[in-house]
Amino acid sequence: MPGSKNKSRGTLRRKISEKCKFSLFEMFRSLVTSVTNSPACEFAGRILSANGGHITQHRGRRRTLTPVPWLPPVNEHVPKSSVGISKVTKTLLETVIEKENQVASTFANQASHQAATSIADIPASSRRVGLVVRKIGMLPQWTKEGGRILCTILEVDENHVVGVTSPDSWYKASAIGKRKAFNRHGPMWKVTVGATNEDPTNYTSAYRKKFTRAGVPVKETLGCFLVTEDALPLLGQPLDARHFEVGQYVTATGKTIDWGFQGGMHRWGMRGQPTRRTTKSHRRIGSVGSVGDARIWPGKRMPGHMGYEWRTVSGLEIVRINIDKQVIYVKGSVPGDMGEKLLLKDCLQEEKRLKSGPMPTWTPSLETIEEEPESPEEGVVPKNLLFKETFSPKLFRFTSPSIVYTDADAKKAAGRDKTKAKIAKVKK
Amino acid sequence: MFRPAAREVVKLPTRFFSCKSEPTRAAPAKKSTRKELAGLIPAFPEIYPDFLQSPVWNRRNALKEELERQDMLERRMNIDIPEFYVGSIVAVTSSDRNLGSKEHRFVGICIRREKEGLLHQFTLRNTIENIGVEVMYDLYNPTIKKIETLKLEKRLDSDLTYLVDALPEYSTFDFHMEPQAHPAGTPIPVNEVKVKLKNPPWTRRWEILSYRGIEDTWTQATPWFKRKLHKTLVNDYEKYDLIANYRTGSTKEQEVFVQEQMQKFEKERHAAGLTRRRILKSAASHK
Repeated sequence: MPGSKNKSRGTLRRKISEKCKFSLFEMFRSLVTSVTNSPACEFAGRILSANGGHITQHRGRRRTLTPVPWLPPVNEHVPKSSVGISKVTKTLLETVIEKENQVASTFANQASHQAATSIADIPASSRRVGLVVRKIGMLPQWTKEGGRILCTILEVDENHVVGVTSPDSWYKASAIGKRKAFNRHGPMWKVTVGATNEDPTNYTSAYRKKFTRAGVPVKETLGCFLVTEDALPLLGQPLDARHFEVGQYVTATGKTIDWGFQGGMHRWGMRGQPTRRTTKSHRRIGSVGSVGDARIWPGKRMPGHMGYEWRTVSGLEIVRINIDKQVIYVKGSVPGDMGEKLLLKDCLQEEKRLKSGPMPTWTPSLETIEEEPESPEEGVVPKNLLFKETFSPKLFRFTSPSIVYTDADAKKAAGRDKTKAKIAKVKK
Repeated sequence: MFRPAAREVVKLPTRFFSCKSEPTRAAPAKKSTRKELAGLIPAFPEIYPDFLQSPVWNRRNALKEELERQDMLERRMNIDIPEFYVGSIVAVTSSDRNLGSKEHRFVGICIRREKEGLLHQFTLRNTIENIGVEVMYDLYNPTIKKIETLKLEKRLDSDLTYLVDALPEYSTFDFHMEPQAHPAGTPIPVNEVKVKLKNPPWTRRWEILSYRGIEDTWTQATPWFKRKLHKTLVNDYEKYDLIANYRTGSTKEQEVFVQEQMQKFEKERHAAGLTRRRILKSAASHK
């Protein structure tokens, strides 16, 4: 088994070097083909099939640090300085990319206008698509009662639907589809969502082809969601932060912070050993087993790699959405470090499920134009000075004055006032 | 690439790495730029520590800072947050639902100001019935009704946590203290008092940290400590770190940018006719 692994790695390396020779040529050709709309060549797939034999890798463990070997590489490693593109070619390339992006974004906008959508009841059986968001920070907000809420802010950065795969074709195409396309919740479609526009010259043609097919700009990150047929978005449709509503509960999934190799105290919260009268064992884990059984039981908690695991946190409440900046404020914390990408979807817990909302997703046709009052109220900040935002009704707004309590706000004592004697009430 | 002129190369002395011995090659004296004249505050990081960037570079994000700044400025339009420093005597009136009067006023010396943005906190310390009391406030907590600076001054240190081990008279202030007005345009006075600590043991080893506001800590240490502990400064090597300030502090560009944003915000609100409150101001450079 180890021999075969090494062999497959060697072939992979050979493939990459072989590919690099043609990479620039391929890049140009695919650009031209994408513009002229003729079928692009499938070079990456050809190289893989030319090698014949299967590549295997043990995946799906606690964490996998290597990319999937059987998929074509994503990033194009072209040393740009040494290639020596002339100025004219460079400007041509830039114009082509710009044109492509323009066309893509107009297509995407058209798609969103064509899509039929409404605020409707969501049946318990249907699963909507989610968003790919970036965690950009944590900051406190306060409630109208004066309570402090620590919020995570998540940026929805240019999300588009990149791929929609039917359960049948997904089942045929991949091993994951075998497990997930027809599960106990019924047939599921795979919807791929891309986030953050990127420079297409950094990516291989095989990667860029997905976006050409969907008619959207090349994206940095992709995320997949299981969606039922009644909540299916259109291919190439842009997704908005208003896909979720304030007060709704969501589920965030992503990679946790990568701490690297950590000791037992940090990784598992072990107690360590005493500070005094102990030498060189203050942070060691101590005994790992009994005498009679001369081995270590599987699953013994020990030092090792901590973090960078795929984790889900569910039941997070959305307390505020900034529509202008496409930022979602979520109560509580989500997995991962600042700047990391996460998948955000509807919470599936029955009591926290979204009962009614935009189906299949939010589109500009749902936008309601609020009527401006003729004479603005005294002491209210005019709307053009503020961001367009929606707040949870319980959240304190910084435009309002300080919180003042009245007698009604005072906490009621839980029990009887024990400073006074207990007197039986006389029934009348 | 930077290429010095041939004439300059000839002139180079042998020890050209040193800055101090060669004033000509050291950083040029700071000229007051046009921007500084346009109402910007030189002591901005000291007066507004809450508007600085996070010292953790990973947590700096322009969009997050913009959204956070918007909330902070909105709050400052509704409550007058005066200028105060670590060492100033401050009174805070906050709403409290469980008191009869529904509000609580606390007076004390500001011993710490920490964190950036909406997370910014300051701690007040006073001695009440011979018990030291420290109250930590979130600056942007909406239950705070009023913040007053009773005495505007600085101390020798930017962190007065050591008052917990000082004699109680150094942190005893009258709750009915009259506010002392600071004459506008004069520099902020520095109170050069050196506090006497109680006998050890202390909560921290103050003698090895380089605090200037503590009176001769080493002679007060008991012989047992003197025998046991070397008189060393823990982070003594840090003064040789030439770019430490760059890594953790704020840059001039960022300060100017934030001040311009604050001025723009003020101008918009004044034009809308809502308030005449000014956010960006400094007692020392008041015109």
